[in-house]
Parts: sequence; C-alpha cells; structure tokens
Amino acid sequence: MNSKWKHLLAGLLFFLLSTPFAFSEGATRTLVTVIVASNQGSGFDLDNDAYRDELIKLFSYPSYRQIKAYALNLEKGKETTLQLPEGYVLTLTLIREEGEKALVQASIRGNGKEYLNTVLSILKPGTVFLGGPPVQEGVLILALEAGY
Amino acid sequence: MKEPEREETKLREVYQNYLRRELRQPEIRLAKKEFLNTYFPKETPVWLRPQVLAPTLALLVILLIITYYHPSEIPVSPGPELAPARVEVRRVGSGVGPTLVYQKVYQDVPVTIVWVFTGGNPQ
Repeated sequence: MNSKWKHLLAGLLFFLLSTPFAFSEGATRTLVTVIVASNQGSGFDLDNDAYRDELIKLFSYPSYRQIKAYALNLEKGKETTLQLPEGYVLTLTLIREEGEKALVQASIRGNGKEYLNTVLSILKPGTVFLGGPPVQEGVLILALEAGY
Repeated sequence: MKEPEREETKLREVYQNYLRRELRQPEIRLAKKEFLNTYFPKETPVWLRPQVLAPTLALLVILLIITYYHPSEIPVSPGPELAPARVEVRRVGSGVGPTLVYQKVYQDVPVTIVWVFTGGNPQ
C-alpha cells in the first residue's frame, strides 16, 4: 500500500470517528439566515421559500433579500462569531441544554455598540427572529433556527 | 219416498261427491287459496299498522334517549389550542435603544421576534 492510500485511509478513519463527536450531546445544530428587509423595491430573494410566508405574516416590508445563510453546530460554552453586513457581528453561545431546550445567548454588535444582547431558551426545533439593526437598504433581520 | 224424490237425492249425492272430489284436487285448492288471498286479504294486525307503529317507535326512541342521555358524558371538544411557545426570552438588552419582544402566531405556532429600535419602527 503506497503512502497516498495510507493518507486517504487515515483521513477516512478520522472523518468516521470524528463525526459522532460533532453531533454529540452539548451541541446544537443551528441555522442562521441573514435577511435585509427594506422599503425599497419589492419582492423576495430568499433561498428558503418557507420564510417567505412567515416574513409576510410577521413583518410588512415590501422587500426581503437574503444575504447569507450559515449552518452551525453550536458547542456548549463556545462562542461562534458570524460576520454580518456593514460591519455587524453576531455572536452565538450555547450556554447549556435543558432537556429539549437549548439556552442560547445571541448578541449583535457593530460600530462599537451593542445593538442586541439576549438569552433565549429555544425548544428544539424552534425559530426566533432578531431584528432592528439598520443597514443602508433597510434593516437587518436574522432568523435563528435551533435544533434542526 | 217417491221415485222422483229418490232419484233427485241420488243425483244430489252424486253431484256432491263429484264436487267434493274436484275441490280436493291440489290445483283447485291452490287456486282457491290464491283467489281468497287476492280478493279477501287478511287484515294487518292493528299494532302493525303504520299509523300505530310509527308513533310507537318514535316514543320508544324518545324514551331511550331520556334514559341514556347524560349531558355530562357528552365529549366536549377542547377546541384549537396553540402550541406552546418554542422560544422563551430569558433576558434582552441593548446599548442603542429600546427593545421589544413580541410573538405572532404563524400556522398556530407562536413565533418570537426580538426587535431593537434604533430610530425606525419595525414594519
């Protein structure tokens, strides 16, 4: 067996052994969808069509544009930082898991200010919308789906 | 008895015997029965007549309902219930403006929104 095959086999073994740990207890799979809602123009530019009806019902902006979507695996006590448009930063921390619930701290900072800092108890799977920070086009809305 | 009378009696007997034999034949008996059933049907017993049977049955149904009807035993639908809120906001704060936590029901599930006011209103 040449060294190329040895490396490939070692990599495969590492992947197979590490996968269960990635989804072990103390980790919560979370989807973050970054959306800009604005009064300029109209229409939806979203990857997830399910959000469309939800956004229509929850807000009344004429235009929604998805900027980015992240699939994260929040680990207990570990901060996960995401870069948002116009210098905003979202920090998510899984404080702990309480049975079917995940206690998550979410904060949005930008321009040296703390726009939002909240602790949420999310019954998995659950969705929460965080919004309000202004961007050039309108406002930032973050859809957090925990436990998916 | 005189001769003509005797003759008449004898003839009557012969005629009666003939009739008796004829009437005893199965075909004749069946035809007679059918004739009687067709033109002189047996009367339906009084208690089986519709004008008696229908009110009796109705009364029976009413009595059964009164006997077995217990309003407290009727299953009452609990009505639509909202699913429990999936998100509970334990703490919220902002360094730039007031915050608002509100829920809107979407497809019978309360959806939580955490909003920070930075000068504009959520729409």
